Amino acid sequence: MGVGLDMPWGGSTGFEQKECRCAPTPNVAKFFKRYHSDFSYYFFSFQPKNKNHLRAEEYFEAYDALVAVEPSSVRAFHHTRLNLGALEPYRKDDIIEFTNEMIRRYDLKWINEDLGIWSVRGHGMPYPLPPFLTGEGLRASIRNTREYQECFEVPLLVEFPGFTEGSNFYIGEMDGFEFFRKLAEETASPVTLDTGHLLSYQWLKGRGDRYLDGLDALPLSQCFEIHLSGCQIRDGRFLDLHHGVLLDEQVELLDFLLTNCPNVKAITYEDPKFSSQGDLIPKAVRNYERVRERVKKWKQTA
Amino acid sequence: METNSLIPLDEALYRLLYHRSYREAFFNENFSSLGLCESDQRHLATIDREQLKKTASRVVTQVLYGADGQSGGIEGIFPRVLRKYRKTFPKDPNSIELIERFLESNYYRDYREHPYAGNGICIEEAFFEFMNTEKPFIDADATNAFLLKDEFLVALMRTLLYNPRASFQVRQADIFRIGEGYYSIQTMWPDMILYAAVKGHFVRGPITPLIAEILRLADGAKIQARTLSVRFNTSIETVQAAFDRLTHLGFLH
Repeated sequence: MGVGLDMPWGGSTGFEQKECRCAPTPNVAKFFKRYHSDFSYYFFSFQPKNKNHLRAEEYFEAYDALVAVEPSSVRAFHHTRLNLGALEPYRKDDIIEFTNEMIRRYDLKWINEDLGIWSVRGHGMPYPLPPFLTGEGLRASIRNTREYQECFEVPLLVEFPGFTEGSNFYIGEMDGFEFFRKLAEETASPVTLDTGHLLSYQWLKGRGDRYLDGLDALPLSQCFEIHLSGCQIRDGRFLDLHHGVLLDEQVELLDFLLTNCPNVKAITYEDPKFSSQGDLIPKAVRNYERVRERVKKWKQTA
Repeated sequence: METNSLIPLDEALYRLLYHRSYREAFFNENFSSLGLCESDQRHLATIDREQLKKTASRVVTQVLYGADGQSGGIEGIFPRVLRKYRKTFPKDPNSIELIERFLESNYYRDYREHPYAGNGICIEEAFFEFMNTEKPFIDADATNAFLLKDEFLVALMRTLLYNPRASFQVRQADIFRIGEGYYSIQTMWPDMILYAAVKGHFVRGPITPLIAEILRLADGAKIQARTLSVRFNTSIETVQAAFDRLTHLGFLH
């Protein structure tokens, strides 16, 4: 089991600037200390620290400090700049150079990215939109994925996108699962299945009461990583909140995926919320423990 | 709204998110005005309108207040301009209509949060240029243009200070590169105000015509202290002291 951390700049959890040095906030170090034995790997999500051209060396001080907090674990990187669903021309050289430098310096084992439209015409989205669910959208997503696959020095995991309430909609008639399977087949990419993202799509398609239906349309055999991040169902709408509290439905979906994805190697609790002392927030503990138990059993039988 | 030629689907997405008039045409099912081929019209018909409305509203909020609702938005960059705007136009108490006009403008289009889809300008400059075209605001008070320029230059210089290898371009003709920094001089009679971002320092304050001239000449031929002392009717020592001060601040080498 692993953990995925969003590391924004200047918040209560993430990176902070202290005496001219960038370092993780103290609660991150406490969290790792407290839960060290639970996790065999972690990933951190990229958040830009400024409006400069992207250069890896600007991030070394902060990421070095993060790695120093948890030096022994396997590491991966959750990108947020690949814009895999973009139709428009998108300059990739800086992103590729940045990513490969990160891979080398931190011995990253894989790169993960949501298959989505993260920006259009250089303007960011409040929440990444799914790719255009059209033939043109699929071709563009395949093209973008291949370009990064060819240039990255470790595997790129493509993640099924989220469909959260309030800041997300889709364009196109193709089925989301089918679209994703075709992309995975065409690119032979290992994939990440995020339980919240899958459920959000089921809710959107009106399959909230039978959310395990239709999952076999996904590229289950290519699934390398499973994500579990906090979600909520409010007034029948699905919210991908990343607030640390897992739904019972996510734990059940994890059971399904562990049974049906023969090549899974990583199960990630993503964006935990913890106190200043590094303890998980009380509401998160119950299903976190349930997930931990399941992973333990799965490891024994895998 | 009019659209003469066909646009690609991602351009339609851009307009749905950022152009209220385009969004309204879509909601009103005025498909012929959307500039889309038949198949793209079909694709657009799959959009959940309620979700589009909420997303577009969230875009406005983020541009106004920043992604975290607390910083980085227009409200934080241009607080005095927005206060003055709301006082002048109480019918738009939260500046929502103003921001919607901004999003629909070409100035916003020229702004780039991410540089990978082509070069662009920063949001500070985009909003400054846009507000200059808001004639009812500019003409409402003789000081509004200066207020706008002052707040813009303060914000821009600070942004340039923290982003020495900025991924955006600066296109105002009265902002100059100097050494590794930038400066601009504005005249608010009888004062000349210097705005600058140099060598880790943000500078804003009145300057003398002599300082302005030294800065103007800084990138040109070697400046002659004697010539300046004659032209500004001052001693060579005074000119030399100005050189020394500007060198110390990082304007001159």
